[in-house]
Amino acid sequence: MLIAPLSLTRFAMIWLSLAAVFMPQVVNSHILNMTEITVVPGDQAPGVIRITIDLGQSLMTPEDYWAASTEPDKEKRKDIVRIIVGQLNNGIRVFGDGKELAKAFANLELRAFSLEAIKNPLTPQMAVLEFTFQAGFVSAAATGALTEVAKNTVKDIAIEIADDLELPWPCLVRIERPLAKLPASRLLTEDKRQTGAVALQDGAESEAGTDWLTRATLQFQSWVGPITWLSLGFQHIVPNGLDHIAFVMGLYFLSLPLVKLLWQISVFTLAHSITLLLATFNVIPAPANIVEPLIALSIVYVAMDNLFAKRLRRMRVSVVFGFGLIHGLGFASSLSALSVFDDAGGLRLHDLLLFNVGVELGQLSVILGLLVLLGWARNASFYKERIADPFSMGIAGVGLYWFVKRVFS
Amino acid sequence: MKHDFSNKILPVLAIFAGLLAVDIAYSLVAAKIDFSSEAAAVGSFPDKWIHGSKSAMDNTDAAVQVHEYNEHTFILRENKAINYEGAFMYVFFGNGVAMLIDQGSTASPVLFPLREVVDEIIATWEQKHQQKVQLIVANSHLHGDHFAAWNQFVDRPNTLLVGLTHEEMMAFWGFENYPQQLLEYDLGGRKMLVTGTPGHQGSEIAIYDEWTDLLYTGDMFYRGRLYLEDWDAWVDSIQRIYKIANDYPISALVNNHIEMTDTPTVDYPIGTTWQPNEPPMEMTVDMLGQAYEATKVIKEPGIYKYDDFLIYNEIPWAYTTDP
Repeated sequence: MLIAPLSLTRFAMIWLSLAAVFMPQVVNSHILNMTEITVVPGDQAPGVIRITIDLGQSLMTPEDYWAASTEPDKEKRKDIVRIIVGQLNNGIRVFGDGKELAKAFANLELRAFSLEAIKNPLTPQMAVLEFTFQAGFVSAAATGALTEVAKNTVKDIAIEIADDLELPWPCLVRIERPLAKLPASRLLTEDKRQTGAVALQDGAESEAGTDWLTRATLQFQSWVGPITWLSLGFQHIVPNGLDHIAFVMGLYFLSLPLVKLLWQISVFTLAHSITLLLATFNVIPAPANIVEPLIALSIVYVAMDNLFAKRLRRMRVSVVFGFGLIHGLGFASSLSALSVFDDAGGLRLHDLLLFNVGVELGQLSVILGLLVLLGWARNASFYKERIADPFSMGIAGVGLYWFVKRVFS
Repeated sequence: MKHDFSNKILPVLAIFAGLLAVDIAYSLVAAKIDFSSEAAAVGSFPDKWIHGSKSAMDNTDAAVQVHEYNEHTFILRENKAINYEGAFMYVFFGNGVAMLIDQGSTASPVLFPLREVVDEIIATWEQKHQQKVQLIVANSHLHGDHFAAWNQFVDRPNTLLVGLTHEEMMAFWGFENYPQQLLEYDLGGRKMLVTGTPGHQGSEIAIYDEWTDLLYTGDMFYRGRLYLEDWDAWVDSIQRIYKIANDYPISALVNNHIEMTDTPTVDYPIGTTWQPNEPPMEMTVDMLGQAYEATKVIKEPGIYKYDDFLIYNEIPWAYTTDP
């Protein structure tokens, strides 16, 4: 709560001194008379939105609030606050999956010690109003016929406070998420009156409040779910896999006919697919402290081989196969951060294959990029001396640097 | 062979050596800060904090006072002319990370530009120490006068917001047995001990910083009115932090408010926006010892006066000591 301009301070101090004598109430300092909204989505029962608000300092006069809070007759009390209930019902809106949910007034509790206490902003006298709404989530335990709530299962909840509704600010919103690890908190202020969509489950993407491109991408991904695994595999090479890019570039700069280059790439692919599968099943370990330096060494080897080999030796193909096995272990350790296993522990082979295809597309795109940039010079007399060898030297130098870094880090 | 070495291998080694040299040079410039010294890192408090003014309207002080306790520890105070709470906030730096504890009592970035101030502190620190830091926005406890400006950080890049529910706080610190647990928290190499201190509010924590030997006690122990909603919980909390104060070296106790005058047992009236005769914010282990002794003798709700703090044990406001 902000103290009024200081022209009023002296008045406030005198008033406070007098008030101290007349106000019996529990000490409640260090809590601004801020508003709190708690949203409890329903499971088999209606959802509840609970609003805790200092009405006597906002939507009602202290006198009206005192009259309502001291009125013994429940119905008469409701009559006094009927307009306020309507204002809060209209002004605090709940959305499920972007659609506004109708609320019904359910409960009212008016707390106050004295009229003086209501008038004093430093001693908040809070009212609690509850509304229900017919939407929520369905827990795993839900069985039998679907209730009204279960039929209206929503993925996300949002709260919005209308521009013309003035509350004691700020307003702390707590959204219970029984299917998630933690509840969610949002703070609303005069300038920020919307929580945005809060997903009711961990990891559930919220679509509202994001830009159209993100929404379109999410929509597309929901249609073609597997595309995600394909793109994850691709991204593991471009742009995230600098070392794998360097290796593929190393293969490219041996100045071979394209068919032989693709033969090397295929051997590499076959090899890393094998270890990726075996490591995913934990048949073989993939210790990063050993695998990562070896990947760096493989880069040094292919690049140095480019500098000294005159042709594609059979041994090189075998070595590329061996390095493919090592790179596969590298892919497996990154894949372990994702999960290709379903809840029952079964392998989603489909996803794993798509990840692998994504990796291949990433590698081929590197080759394609090099062909576009440097393909025109592949048959030129200066190609090896001016292009292939300098590139190979650079790749070998970088590989050596990575090897030292990975061994000593 | 000699020809191959100079033409092919030497360039490779030169590239390798160049990259390594750049890497070493960078790591020397951006050397990690060592927070492990046995002796407490020295710091200082201001002789006087900015303490409001007779006329809040005419106040020309900064909205947020920034005090550099030492180069990796900053204490901030909200101008009392903006909000009478005059809440203190803290920024602790570790390697690659900074933690802001509490966000004051005013939401408006126009009146209270906390984000701007914290961004400037971080940018200056990053430049000086050649490190990028992630900001963690945390809270001592969940009362509105300590998180009102929380929203200013919601869209800040490279920022982790702990959250404003009890559950989010507990999950962040790793509490499995709140409040009894004494947790070790590593803030980028800066070791901290964290324990639960409910009593004033049910989610409160205290933090002991092993680098500065500062013991941060939030709202549960400071120079002012110690409003206790749960006496038994507070007794346990005081006993827990008193044990920390005895088990570890303490340079000072730091906290969230000043409500006492420099006259023993006398506080400023609630809502005061000008406190010309404030005592220091920092407190001593002896003062904590008095609170510890108080927990043994106080049996009933009421106001109990001590030289440096007042205990408001679950009492009606009518019995306030305000004049």
